[in-house]
Amino acid sequence: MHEPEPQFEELPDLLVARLQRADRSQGIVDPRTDRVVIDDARRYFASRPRRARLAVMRWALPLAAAAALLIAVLVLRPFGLQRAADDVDGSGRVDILDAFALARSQADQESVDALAARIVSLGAQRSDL
Amino acid sequence: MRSRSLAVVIVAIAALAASFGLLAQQQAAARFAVVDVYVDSTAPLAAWQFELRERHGEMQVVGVENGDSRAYTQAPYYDRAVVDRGAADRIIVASFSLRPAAELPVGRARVATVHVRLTGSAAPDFQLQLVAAGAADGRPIDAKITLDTRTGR
Repeated sequence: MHEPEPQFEELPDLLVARLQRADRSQGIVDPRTDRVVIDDARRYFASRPRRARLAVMRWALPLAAAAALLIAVLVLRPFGLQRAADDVDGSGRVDILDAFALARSQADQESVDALAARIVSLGAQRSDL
Repeated sequence: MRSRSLAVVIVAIAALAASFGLLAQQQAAARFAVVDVYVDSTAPLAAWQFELRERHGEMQVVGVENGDSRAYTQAPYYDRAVVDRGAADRIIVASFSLRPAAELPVGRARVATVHVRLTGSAAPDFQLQLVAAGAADGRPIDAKITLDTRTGR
């Protein structure tokens, strides 16, 4: 049976004394430390939403521009193409002379009637009067 | 109590009379008119398009019929759906003829007749614009457009 050796008796007295003091010491809780930690935490969390907002703002402009472009393409392009296609005589305006030109080109009656219907439509045309 | 009943009866009679008066006024204000549209051209008229409206918006187009020329056998083009719905406060009318130039009208010719319902009490102020006029070869031509009005049914 091995007997444990008394360790403290082998350490220097000065070290033993310091260790005993350290063992008795308590952490000093300073209110200023608390305040610094709290302020630091607040700053940290306050900065997070702002960064998130900035990230959204960074994408908002390109997204809005893309949406506007898409809407413009979807809304304006079909009418523009339709009007360009209806300008049979190439006069720059669509009127009965275009339907007349289409009829003179031996086009089928259905196409001529459809073009004429678009020309006299009260819904699509803007009045010049 | 008796006087209260009498007052109610008097008010009811007054309201009834007022509604009859209003109805009669509306019937008197609403009337029909016929608008004959003429195009005057020195060149044979092969195609035409006009727009008619009433300045005060007190017009409802109820029908469109063809003009006098035998060169235009088909009914003119107009927005029949809107007219049939009773929602045409203006009208765009157009037509063309593939007949040879010799058979096309020259000079003042009635191209269409527009039947309208007028709702205002004032005299109508028609605005008529010749949108397009073309010769037999398809080129645009200068022409003058006028109208005559008649009392409708």
